[in-house]
Amino acid sequence: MKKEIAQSSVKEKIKGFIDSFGWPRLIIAGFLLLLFLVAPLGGISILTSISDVLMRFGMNSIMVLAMVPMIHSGCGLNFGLPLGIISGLLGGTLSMQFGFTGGVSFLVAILITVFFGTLFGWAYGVLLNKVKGGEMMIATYVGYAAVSFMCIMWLLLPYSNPQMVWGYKGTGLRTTISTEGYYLHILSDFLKIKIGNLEIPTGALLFFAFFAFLMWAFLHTKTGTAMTAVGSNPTFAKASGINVDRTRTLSVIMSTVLGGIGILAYQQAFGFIQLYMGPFYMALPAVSAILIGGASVNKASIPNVIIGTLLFQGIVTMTPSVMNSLIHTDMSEVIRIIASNGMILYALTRKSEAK
Amino acid sequence: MNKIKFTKSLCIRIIAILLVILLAVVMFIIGKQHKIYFDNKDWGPYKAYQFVEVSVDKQDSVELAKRDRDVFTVVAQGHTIHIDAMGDEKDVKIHIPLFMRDVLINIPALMNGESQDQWMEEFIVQTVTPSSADETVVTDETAGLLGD
Amino acid sequence: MKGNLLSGKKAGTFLLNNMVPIMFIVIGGIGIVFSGFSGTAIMNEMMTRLSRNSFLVISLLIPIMAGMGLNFGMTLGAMAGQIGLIFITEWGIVGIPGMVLAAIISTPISILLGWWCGKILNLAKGREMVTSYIIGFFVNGIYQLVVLFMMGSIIPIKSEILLPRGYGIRNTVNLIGIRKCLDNLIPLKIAGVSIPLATFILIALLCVFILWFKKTKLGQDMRAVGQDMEVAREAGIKVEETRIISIIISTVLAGYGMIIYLQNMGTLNTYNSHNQIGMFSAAALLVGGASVDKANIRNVFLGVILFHLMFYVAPYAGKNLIGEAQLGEYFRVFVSYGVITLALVMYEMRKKREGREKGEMLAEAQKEAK
Repeated sequence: MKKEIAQSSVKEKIKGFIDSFGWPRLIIAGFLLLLFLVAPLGGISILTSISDVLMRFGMNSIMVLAMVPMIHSGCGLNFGLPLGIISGLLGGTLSMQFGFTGGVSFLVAILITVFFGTLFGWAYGVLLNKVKGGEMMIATYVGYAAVSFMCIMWLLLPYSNPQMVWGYKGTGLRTTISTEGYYLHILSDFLKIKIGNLEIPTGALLFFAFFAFLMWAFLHTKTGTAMTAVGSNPTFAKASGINVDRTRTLSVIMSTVLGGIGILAYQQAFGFIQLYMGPFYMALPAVSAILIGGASVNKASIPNVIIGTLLFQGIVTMTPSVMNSLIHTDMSEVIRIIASNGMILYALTRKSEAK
Repeated sequence: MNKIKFTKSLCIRIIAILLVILLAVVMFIIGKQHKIYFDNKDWGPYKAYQFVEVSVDKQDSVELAKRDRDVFTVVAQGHTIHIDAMGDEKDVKIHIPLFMRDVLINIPALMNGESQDQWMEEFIVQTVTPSSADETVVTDETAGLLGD
Repeated sequence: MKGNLLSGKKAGTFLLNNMVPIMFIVIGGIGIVFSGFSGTAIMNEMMTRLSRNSFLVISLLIPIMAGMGLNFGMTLGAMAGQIGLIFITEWGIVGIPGMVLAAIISTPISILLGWWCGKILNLAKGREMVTSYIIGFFVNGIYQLVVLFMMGSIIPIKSEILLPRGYGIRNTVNLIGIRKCLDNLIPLKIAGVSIPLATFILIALLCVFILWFKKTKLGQDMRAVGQDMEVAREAGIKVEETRIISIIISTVLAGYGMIIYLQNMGTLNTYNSHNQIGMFSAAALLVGGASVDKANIRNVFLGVILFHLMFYVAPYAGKNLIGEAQLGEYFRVFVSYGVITLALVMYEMRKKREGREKGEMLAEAQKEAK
């Protein structure tokens, strides 16, 4: 009798745990664990894999962090991240065009990014305030429209740095621009720790930690709590004297600026600036990463960002190498598409907790 | 156990599905493309002709010299072959088995009155693909945006 | 004086309501002038594109009727159609029978995918569009799993459409067997413009079907569900089921539409053909003056003509104007996305305004009652 009760309570506990954690998340975490377990069979060094995951974490985490403010203010998942990325691309290319090199070029790039991010984010925020309830679909198309508009601009803007423009024409930016000599590995190599096969890009991790801390601190300020209030109950927030529209716009600006800085952190590690159609689908990995980390359409925290990015990038890094070495087929791309979009679908179909 | 009730609408649905399947089978049969290869080559006791003219259904005829091979592309199973071997004319009706994609017909054997299973056989085209020429699959989702 | 003012206001609302089509007429006109095409060339191209795309665009109508917005999940049907085409190419079935067989094969796949898509969309009421959009991506992953890894290894495929490695379909599948077989079934040429009559007859039949469907019990139910789900439920309509059926019909039609589209193109880009179909179809419909909750057949044809006119002339106009065809290509992509964004924003703003007006009216009515 007692045993039965104990058993059922354990069962309930497990069930409660699964419910709170969510099936897809559990499957993805289990899958990643499995990949790490079978990796040695394929002759893959665990330490190298971990280094890879850490490097990619440094590259992508800030773009995932960019999701947090808009989720908090109730604007949903920021499918319009490409807009932020464009401000980052403008920052990077303009800084190179103005002739800054090395570490200075990165700082200048960030400054320009913040400027454009604020500008774009403000306009984007005002637009989203007019379409409350339909933000996500419109955000997607704002992102796409912005990317395709900038495709025209990259061709037409009077850039002239010979390392950036097409050699034979002398005008129009190239599809990919190397960051070598500018801010290549500027963060990744800062205080880098190397133990055998294990490499830790301390600078990139610190860079993320800095912004994550800022975000955490911000969410605990008066404005930050107001933002959460707007997200969880706009009517109540309005009644208690919070300017709902302004708070939402602020969250969109923050998200856009962080998206821009995120792509700079990505470029310094990746080594290239990808223009034209490059940023097109960059919102989806960031969105699914934060969802995998445990966020929902209207709830997100810093731990969600960290766990999500680690899990998502873990899958992205581990599947190709493990699959290739074990079954000589590269199914990783397909698995990535199914897992990440499946995660987004799962989140979209959950009942919104507050509303 | 739930008993399946054969109501009117269920019956109609089943019949409709069966009709669609039947239509699919018919389409398969009348739309199947076959290739008929003609050989003007020595076959057993029969020698190849110096020169033959072959046509299938109403397609333009083709001239075959000794040891020549040519091909007709046809749709569906039943066809009429017209052969003119230096004045020796013959019309033959053939029925290509459904699952034989390509067939090979030997003209001398056909002209000398052998049975169909003698002068017609399945022809399996040996496609030689160099293993090194493996193409990389492009699954880029933005690829459809540019171009036509 | 008063009448003048009123008609002026009327003209203003007319312009506002038809802003998008008017904008496109202007863009298209400028494009034609700078592209340097002759009238016959443009007419020919428009005929081709009208016959190629209309069926696909019409498939979007029914979910709009049911209040589910633009069904970006129509790519599911497109994938089903492509699977049908892969099979008939493998089996060597050509001509009209080949197309019919491909359509038959695509139907159960479309129904299954549409049913599943409808189920998911019922879980995501209020954000159907973004969800159907993501469903498109998700099923694209499954499609790749099937076509790239299972065909040739689990599903028997032997012919030359297989990759040399022994499984997976090649990047492009040549559809020579059914190429333009429907378009050229009834040849017709008027003043140098060839008209694919058979295709248009098929499209006309579909239009008749849509018009008939609107009048059926199911069609009426769908409209009721589209107007107000709760009211419809109280009236005894099975809301969820009706919504699922609307998505199934849309998906099946999109599958047929894709087969018609690809018989005209003549080649199947196995991994790319379907990707942008949803976007281009939605854009065309919106350009025709439709909105997210209201669309009719007139919008389809006007939209396809105007959108594809811009699409066709933009690269040439870009080349002649600035010496860069690429610019025109980017321009038309931008316009496609821009027009969808604009239409979505206008729809949401109108919805909000109407909601507010309703509230005000209710408040006033209450005041009067007192």
